[in-house]
Amino acid sequence: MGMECDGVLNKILVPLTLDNDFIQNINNTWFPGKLGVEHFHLLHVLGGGLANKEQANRILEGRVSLIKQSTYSSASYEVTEGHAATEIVERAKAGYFDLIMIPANNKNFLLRMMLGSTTTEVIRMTDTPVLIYKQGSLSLNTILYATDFGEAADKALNYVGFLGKISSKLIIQHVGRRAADPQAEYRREEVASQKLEETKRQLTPYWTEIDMISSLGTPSRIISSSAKEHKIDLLVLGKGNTGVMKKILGSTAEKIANTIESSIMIVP
Amino acid sequence: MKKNIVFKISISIVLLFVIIGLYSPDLLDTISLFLHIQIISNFGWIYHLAAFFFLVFCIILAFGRYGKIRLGKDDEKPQYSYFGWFSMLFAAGMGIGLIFWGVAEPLSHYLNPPAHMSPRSGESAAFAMRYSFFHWGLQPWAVYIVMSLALAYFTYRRNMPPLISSCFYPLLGDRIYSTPGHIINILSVIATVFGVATSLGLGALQIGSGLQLLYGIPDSVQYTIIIIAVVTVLYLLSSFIGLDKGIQTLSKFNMYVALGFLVVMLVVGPTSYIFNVFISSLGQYINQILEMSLQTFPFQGYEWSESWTLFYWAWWIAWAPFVGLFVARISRGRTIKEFVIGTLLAPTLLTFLWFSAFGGTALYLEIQQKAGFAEGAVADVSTALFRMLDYFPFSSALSLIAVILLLIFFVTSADSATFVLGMMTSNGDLNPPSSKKIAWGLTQSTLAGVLLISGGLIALQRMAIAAALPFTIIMILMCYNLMRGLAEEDKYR
Repeated sequence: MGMECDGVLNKILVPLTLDNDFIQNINNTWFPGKLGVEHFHLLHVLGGGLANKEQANRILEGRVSLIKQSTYSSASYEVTEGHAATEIVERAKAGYFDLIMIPANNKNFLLRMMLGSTTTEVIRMTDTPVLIYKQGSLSLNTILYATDFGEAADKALNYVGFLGKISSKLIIQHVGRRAADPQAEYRREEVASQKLEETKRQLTPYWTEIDMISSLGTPSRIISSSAKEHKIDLLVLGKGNTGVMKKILGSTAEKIANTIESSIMIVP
Repeated sequence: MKKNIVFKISISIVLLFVIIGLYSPDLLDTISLFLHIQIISNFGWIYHLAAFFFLVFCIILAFGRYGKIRLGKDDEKPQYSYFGWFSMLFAAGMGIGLIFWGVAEPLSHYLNPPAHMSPRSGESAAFAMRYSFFHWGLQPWAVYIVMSLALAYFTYRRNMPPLISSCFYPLLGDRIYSTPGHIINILSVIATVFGVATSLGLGALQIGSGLQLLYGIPDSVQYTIIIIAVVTVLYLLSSFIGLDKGIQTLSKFNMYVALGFLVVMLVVGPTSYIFNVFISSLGQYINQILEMSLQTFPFQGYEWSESWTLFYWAWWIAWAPFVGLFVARISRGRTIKEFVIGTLLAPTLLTFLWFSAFGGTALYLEIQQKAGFAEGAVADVSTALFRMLDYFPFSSALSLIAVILLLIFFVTSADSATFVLGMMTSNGDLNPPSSKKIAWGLTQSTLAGVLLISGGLIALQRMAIAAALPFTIIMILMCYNLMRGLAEEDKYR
């Protein structure tokens, strides 16, 4: 099947705001230990103005010590200045990181809006996989893998296989677009069903329980609703930015990122 | 009940209008006036923008990568010759209206242009011809094309029933067979009945005017009702003969008569003047189509735009279900490119020539010959053509030809409408049962007659225009559905 499911998440970049308490609670999350992360690199981007670089350095240094004490992973930190999303994306690329992990705490509306916009920009700009980790998520029992059977979804398949080592239940969901007539729609359903079976067959070695869902409609809306209905812990999906409408309105991943309550992993 | 739900509900609504029109024409007038004012004042710009969008959409489709797709199976050939096809296109889409407005519209604009322009000036004459071209040119046909192309595509290429709801399968799925689909079809039927009944009423009035001028038959309501009754019998007969023999034969015959009438006008009229009007107006039209398409005169007299351009756009949209279904039916086997170019250009050019010949001659008489008939013609537009023909030798013969043309256009329009209404209310049966054709034929004639007696014909016209607003939205969604279908041409087939 050609899937490489080992060691795909060794080196992780974690952009942080100074008031984010993700690191303090790192032992209460499913994230670091189970994923076998070897190295965390914390990044804080100063916005200019009254920002205090020394204070930021001091806080991040404390966070690095906490990681070293709490996990088996190594850690480093960096404070830069500039446009947050651009800095995050460039750092991820230059440092050959396997993942950008954005801890999201929905503390207040304003912060959520600011974080939301940076997150969306990172998703749009980066070629590195992004994990938006919704804080408070303690377990990783159910994962939803949304696929359009396209190239981007195929890339995400490796990560889904990898996650099978630390989670128990996988739901594979395909959201299709209704064909133009009933006969074509019947064939579309058949093709979707065959492809879902094929995906399930590929992932079976890594998972104990796999369910499949085939739906119709607007992908962002249907996936968000499924995530809620099945109380999933993590949504995994690929991101393709082809097509004029996607370029104008944003990809499905961008639309879902700020609305979904569970964590989400986006593989470009 | 479910099998005939569209038929039962729509005929009930139409009969309700007949009753209201008969017993309380004032109520119908109040409701229609309110809706008309609200829609045209608040949403008129939507009609403007939508008509332009439809034109751009058609051009992109014709010259884009989907142009080679055939409206039928890949190896199908067109069912009708070019002449037969153009004749039927012209007869269904424009026919009766052109005879009615060919003289009256240019004269109306010449006498009553927008507020910023002097009436009876050279400028207003050029404006009159340019805007007559504009109102009867590419945009109306683009409106029809959107409707007919979507219908033809989903019917003949996707094997779905020839119903407007079928075009919504990509968006609605199997719901096209339930309430949402029924609502779309009922709305289409009602817009068609209102639009056709109004045209029949106005057409009957014009035939009455012609007969009065020719033979002194009083131009009274009683005689107009008799005209409607005679024409009803004729079109029901034509309808029974069928599309291939009935409508096509009549359309071809009428096309010959119309072309003959046009040639006579070109010969006996001011030939050189007519061709000068034609090429000048064509040049101005081509040069200013973008500006006219988006011009609502917000600073110089929006009222003019409301009462003419917006009225026409709404009117073409209200007619679109009927003409669209009919045009789709006769266009099977043509490629999208051939269909769009043929439908967009051939009838438009003929229409321009018609306006140049009849409108141009009327302006010639008024401007050059100081004939002084324009005000009378504009005051009673149904007499405009006959008043103009009075200035030519053999005017009685020419007026008789005009009356015959009107009668046949009347018959072909009503015949096509009866056929289409029968089809729409028989779940898309291409050979609708005779009982339904009779029911619709009698209903639309009764509606026209009753409202002519009660004075509710204009109210009905306003209702048709009001119905065009939801239909504009439906048509924009049809464009989306059509693109979805075309984009998936090679998938799942």
